[in-house]
Amino acid sequence: MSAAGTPTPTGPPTRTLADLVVPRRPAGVPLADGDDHDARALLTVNGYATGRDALAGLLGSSLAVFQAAAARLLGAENARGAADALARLAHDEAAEETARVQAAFALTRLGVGDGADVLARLLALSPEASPAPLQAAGALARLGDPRGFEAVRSALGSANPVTAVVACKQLYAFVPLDGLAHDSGTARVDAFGAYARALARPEPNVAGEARAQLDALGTPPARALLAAHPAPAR
Amino acid sequence: MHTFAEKPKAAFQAAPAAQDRTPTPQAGTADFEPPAQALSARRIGHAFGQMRVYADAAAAVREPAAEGAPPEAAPPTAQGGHRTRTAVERYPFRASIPRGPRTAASLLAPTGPLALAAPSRSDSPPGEEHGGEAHRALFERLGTVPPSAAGSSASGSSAAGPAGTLAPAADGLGAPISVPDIEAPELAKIEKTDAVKGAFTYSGSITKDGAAPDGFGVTRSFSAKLSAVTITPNAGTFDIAATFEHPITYQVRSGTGPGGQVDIASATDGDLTKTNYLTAVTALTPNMSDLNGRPPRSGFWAEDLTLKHELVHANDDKGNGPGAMATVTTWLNGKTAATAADVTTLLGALPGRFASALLAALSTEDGEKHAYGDGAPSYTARANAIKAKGDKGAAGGYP
Repeated sequence: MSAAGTPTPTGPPTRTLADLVVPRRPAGVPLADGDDHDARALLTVNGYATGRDALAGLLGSSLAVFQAAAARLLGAENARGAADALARLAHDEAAEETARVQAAFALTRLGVGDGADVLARLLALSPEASPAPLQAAGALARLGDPRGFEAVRSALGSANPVTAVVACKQLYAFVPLDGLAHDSGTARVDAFGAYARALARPEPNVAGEARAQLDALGTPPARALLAAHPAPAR
Repeated sequence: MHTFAEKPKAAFQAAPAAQDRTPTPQAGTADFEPPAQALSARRIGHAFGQMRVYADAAAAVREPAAEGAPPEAAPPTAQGGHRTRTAVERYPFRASIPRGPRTAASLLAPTGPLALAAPSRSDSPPGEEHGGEAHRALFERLGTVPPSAAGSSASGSSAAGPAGTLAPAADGLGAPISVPDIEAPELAKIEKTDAVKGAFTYSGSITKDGAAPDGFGVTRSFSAKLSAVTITPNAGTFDIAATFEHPITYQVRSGTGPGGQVDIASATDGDLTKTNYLTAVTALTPNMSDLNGRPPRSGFWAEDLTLKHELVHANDDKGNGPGAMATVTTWLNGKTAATAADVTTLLGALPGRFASALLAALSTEDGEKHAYGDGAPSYTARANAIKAKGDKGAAGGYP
């Protein structure tokens, strides 16, 4: 760690996916801070500085995983000077949607641009073709907008376990919105109903992700669900 | 004599039938060798906007591509071997139109076999044509008379009648009238595209390889490549088959831990002494309140158990591989392509998208909880064995 508390890279920057190292999230990171933490750790472990100029430069990386992480951190650090670059990435239809989601979310955190509109448009894509729509749903939920809930709930029933686990990772963002109407009709956010769907999945990692979030939430409904779905041996 | 009214017709007449991918004799500058393999030349349709309609057919000659510049050879495609050259095709054009007082709108309205509403493309299933609606909208727009055209005569002179009426010239019989090139730049962007259908075989592998980690161990799971790729053009689709290779590597430090920790390979390890064995026991005892059993590893670590830990991660990541491949395959199958080169470009995006999908699916804490939980019994057994031996003291304990 640097004196300012910012981790500093220790090796040369990773240039290929074959060399990409993804650090595992340590215990104790609050759910709401987890993605920011993961983005910073990803860049640092792979040899990238996380100063604002360096992050802005990474928005042009050829690897979307670094673009997305840099965009995430620029929003987290309220780097308003990067707003134009973030807007370009958010609107770049040639860029990977996962990076666009993070750029759009960053714009909303900066309070500039049309990031929420971009997220809404990305939400309309197929969650079976990219993680981005579900990530957009989670980002909108972080902004207090529950409109992506049905996409997440539905994806928890996907035949593709990757789609399901990506959906599960968004659930914590909907907990504060539990009970809100999420469309023009009477449908309401049922975050714990969605957790129950995740816990019922046969894949250990999907149920395990739900269990980890519920454990971190620690609320009575969360504990009740955990009690009803004890962890199986893996 | 030509009028603006000929523009849409000329474009349609020049367009080859959708099913006809054989170069016409006029397209002599195109080199398709061998035709069956000329995948990259299979861009269906023409750059209509660059096709000129000559006022005087006698002046219309087929010219070398790029105004005299030799066509460039394209690099070999994935199939290799064949050569493809780009050509701009020019067709002699001559037409006669009866003279008479007709409105511009009636001239431009599509009729007969060239009617815009007539079905003309059939090699993509419904809904799979790229830009089908765009074609229709564009041609319909071209079928309306812009104000400038409506107010001009066919000759471009000021001898027009009432607005919207193309008055025939009253004199100048037999004298050719030159008009500017008639181009529709929007049409240059239109190309026939086919659906892409990918079918991949997942091939994940796990090997101990790669650079030593900064920490105790590392698993690298985000690389992928396509091998044994075949692209088969069929009616309306490019069918792709390939092996989706997902090579996962893991690596641990050798001997000494990242903080100088001493490797304890077993309860009989020579580094254990009567003065340090209790420290080793503490270092290797899983802390069940930390990620479901992470040992503190202060001063001591276990290389072999770290290997097991990384293998758990590698297997978890391999478990996500087929799903991530399914995600990128769904993305690919939502695309269209005009040429095999376009398909190759799309395929080039798959490894990066695969990595993004894997990363998105990476658990928050559950992955570490799984791996440490899996290793906890082994760590507990080793710590217990060390303590048991050390507690023997002089009667069989450590020196």
